[in-house]
Amino acid sequence: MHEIAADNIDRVLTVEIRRPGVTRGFKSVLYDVARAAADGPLVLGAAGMLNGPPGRVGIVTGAAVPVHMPLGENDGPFGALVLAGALERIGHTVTIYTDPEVAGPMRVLIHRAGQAAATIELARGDARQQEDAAAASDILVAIERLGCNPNGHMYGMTANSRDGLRAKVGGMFAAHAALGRPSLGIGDGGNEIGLGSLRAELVRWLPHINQADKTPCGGGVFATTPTTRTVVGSTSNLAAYGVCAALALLRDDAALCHTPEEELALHHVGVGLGLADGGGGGIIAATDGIPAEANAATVLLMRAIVQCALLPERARAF
Amino acid sequence: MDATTCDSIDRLVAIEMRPGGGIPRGVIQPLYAAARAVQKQPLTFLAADGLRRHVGKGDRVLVVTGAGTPPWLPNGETDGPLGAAAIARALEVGLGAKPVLLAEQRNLAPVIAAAQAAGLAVVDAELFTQRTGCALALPLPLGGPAGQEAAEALFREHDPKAIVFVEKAGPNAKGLFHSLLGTSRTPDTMANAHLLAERAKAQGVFTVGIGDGGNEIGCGLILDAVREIQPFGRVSKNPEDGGIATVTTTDVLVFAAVSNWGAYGIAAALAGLLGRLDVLHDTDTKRRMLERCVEAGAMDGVEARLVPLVDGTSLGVQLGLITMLREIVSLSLRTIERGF
Repeated sequence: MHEIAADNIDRVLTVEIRRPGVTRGFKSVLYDVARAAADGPLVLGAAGMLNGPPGRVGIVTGAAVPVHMPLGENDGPFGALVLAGALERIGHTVTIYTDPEVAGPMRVLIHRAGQAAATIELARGDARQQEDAAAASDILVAIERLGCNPNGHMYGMTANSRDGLRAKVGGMFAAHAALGRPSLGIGDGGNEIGLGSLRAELVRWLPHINQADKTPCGGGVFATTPTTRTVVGSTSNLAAYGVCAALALLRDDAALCHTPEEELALHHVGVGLGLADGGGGGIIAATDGIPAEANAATVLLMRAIVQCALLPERARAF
Repeated sequence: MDATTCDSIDRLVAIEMRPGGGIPRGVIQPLYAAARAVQKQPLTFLAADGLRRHVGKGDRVLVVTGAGTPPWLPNGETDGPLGAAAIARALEVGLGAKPVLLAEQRNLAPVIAAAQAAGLAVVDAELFTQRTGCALALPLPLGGPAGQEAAEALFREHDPKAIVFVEKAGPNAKGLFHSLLGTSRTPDTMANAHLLAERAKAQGVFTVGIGDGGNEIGCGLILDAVREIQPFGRVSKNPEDGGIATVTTTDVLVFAAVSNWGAYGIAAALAGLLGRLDVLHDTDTKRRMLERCVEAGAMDGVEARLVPLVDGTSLGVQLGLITMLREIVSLSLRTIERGF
C-alpha cells in the first residue's frame, strides 16, 4: 500500500550531496544494487521488520578515529538516537552498543531526548560480550558500523585501516544470525555491517570504491558481514531517518518521523558534545560534509512524503 | 561541476509526493526513466548546457508557461509561473539574457508577479532594451490561427536564441489539449504554444520542455511511455479524444515530479556550470515568489484554491528543495582532501 511513498523516501535519502575530494559519485549505484537485492523499497522492508510486537532491539553504532575524530563522527549516533526514539515509541526496549569514546556523547543525546535506551560500551576483542548482546537482542541493527573485509580487516572509505581503533562486531551479528533472528544493516559506503549482503555486486560495480589495491591487505574496504535487510543512504543517519519515516507509513503515524527542527538542533548539540563531521573531521554542524540545513531539508522532504501518503484519498474535482 | 552533481539534481527534482485520489501516483519514476533512457545524460545538465551554449549576453529567450483553465483555475496554477520566473532569472543573471515571458492573458498576472518577486522588473518594450535586470511579459492569443500569427511575430520581433516551455500544454495526435486527468480542451481555449516549438525546430532554435505529466510540450519525446504509464495516456475521459500524451517535442525534455522543480533543477545545473551559486535563487526569494504568485491569482493545481501550495506540496517543501539544490551546487564547487 505504501510502496510508492517508500520508494520515494528511498530515493530522496540517496540523493548524493558530496563535494569533490571525498568518495562520491556512487550512491546511486549503491542504491541500485541494494534495491535489486531487495523485495521492495528498502526502508519499507526494514520498517516492516521492526514493526512487530514490543521486543528488544540492539543498535550498534560509533566510528571514532584518534586525533581526527576522537569522540567519533555524528553519522551513526544521530541515526541511532532517532531510530531508538521511534522504536521506543512503538513499544520496543532499545539498547545502544558503541565504543567507549562515543558512549559519553551518546548518553547525553539519549538523556536530552528523554529516551530510555541504555548505552553499553563495547570492549575490544570481547567475544563473550558480543554473544551476550546477540542473545539479548530480538532484532539487531547496525548504523554506520564498520565491518571487516574478507581478510578480517576494517577500513575507512579512504582505505585507511581502522583495525584496533574500535571493536569488531561481526561476531555479534554472526551469533545473532545463528539464533535465527532478524537484523538490519544501515550504511552509506559499503564498508559497514550489513553491506556484506551486497558485497559481490558492490565489488563488481564499484571496484574503484572498494580500492583493493590501496588497502594493505588487498581485500578492499567493502565489508563481508550480512544482515537480514539493508538500507543505504547518502548518509547512514538519513537512511535511519528513512526507516523511521517508513515506520510512520506502516503505523499511520506521521509523528514517528524525524523533524527538520530536531535535525538542526542535533547538529548543534553534536558540536557541543565533540561529535565530528565525517566529511573532514571538523567539529561542525555537518554530516559527511553536508551542512545541517541540507540534512534538515532532506528530513523535511521525507516527512512531506509521509504526510502526503497518509492524507485521506480525495478525488480532484477537475 | 560534474555528472554526479547533475545526476543528483535530476534525482532530487523527480521525488514524487502526491496524496491518493488526486493526480496519478507512482508515475514520475518510470516517466523520468523513459526521458533519461532517450536522452542518456542527466536531463538538467542537457538543458543547462544547451542554454549556456546557445544563449549569450543580450540574446532573447522566450519563456512560455501558463497551465489551467477556467472555471477551476481561472488565472492558472502555481506550477509553471514559478519555474518560468526561476528560469528567466537564471538566464538573466547567469548569461545576461533578455527573457520574454509568455502566457495566456488570463494566466499572465501570476507569471509577472513571480518574476518580479524573483527580482526581474517586468517592464515595457522600450525599457526592456535599455536596461538589465528585467523581463518582458506578453500575452499569447488563444487558438491556432492567432497562435500562428503570434509565433511569426514573436520570432520576427525578438529573434529568440532559445525557448523554454514550463508546464505548457501541447496537443496530442488529434490536435487536442488535455488536463492530466483526461479532460480534453479544444485549441481555441488554449494558447497554441506548440507552434513556437515547431517554428523553433524549423529555424534551428534551441528548445527545452519541462513537464511532470506527459501532456506538456517536450513530452512528445516519451510519447509511448506516457501512453502506457499515465492512466489517461492513451484514452481520454471522452474515449474518442485520443489520450493526454502530447506529440510535441523539444530538443531537451526535463521531466520532474513538479514542472517548477524541473526548472529549478535547470537553474541549479546552470549555476553549477557557471560556477555561480547566485544563478539559482535562494529560499527567501522562493518564499516571496510563491506568495506573490498566489496573491496575483494562481491556484494550487490539486486543490484549486488560493493557497501557497504547488501540486499539493507545501511552501516548506519548496524551500527544502531549494536548500538541497543550493547545497548540491555549492558543494560541487568546492574540493577537500579528507586525509584520514
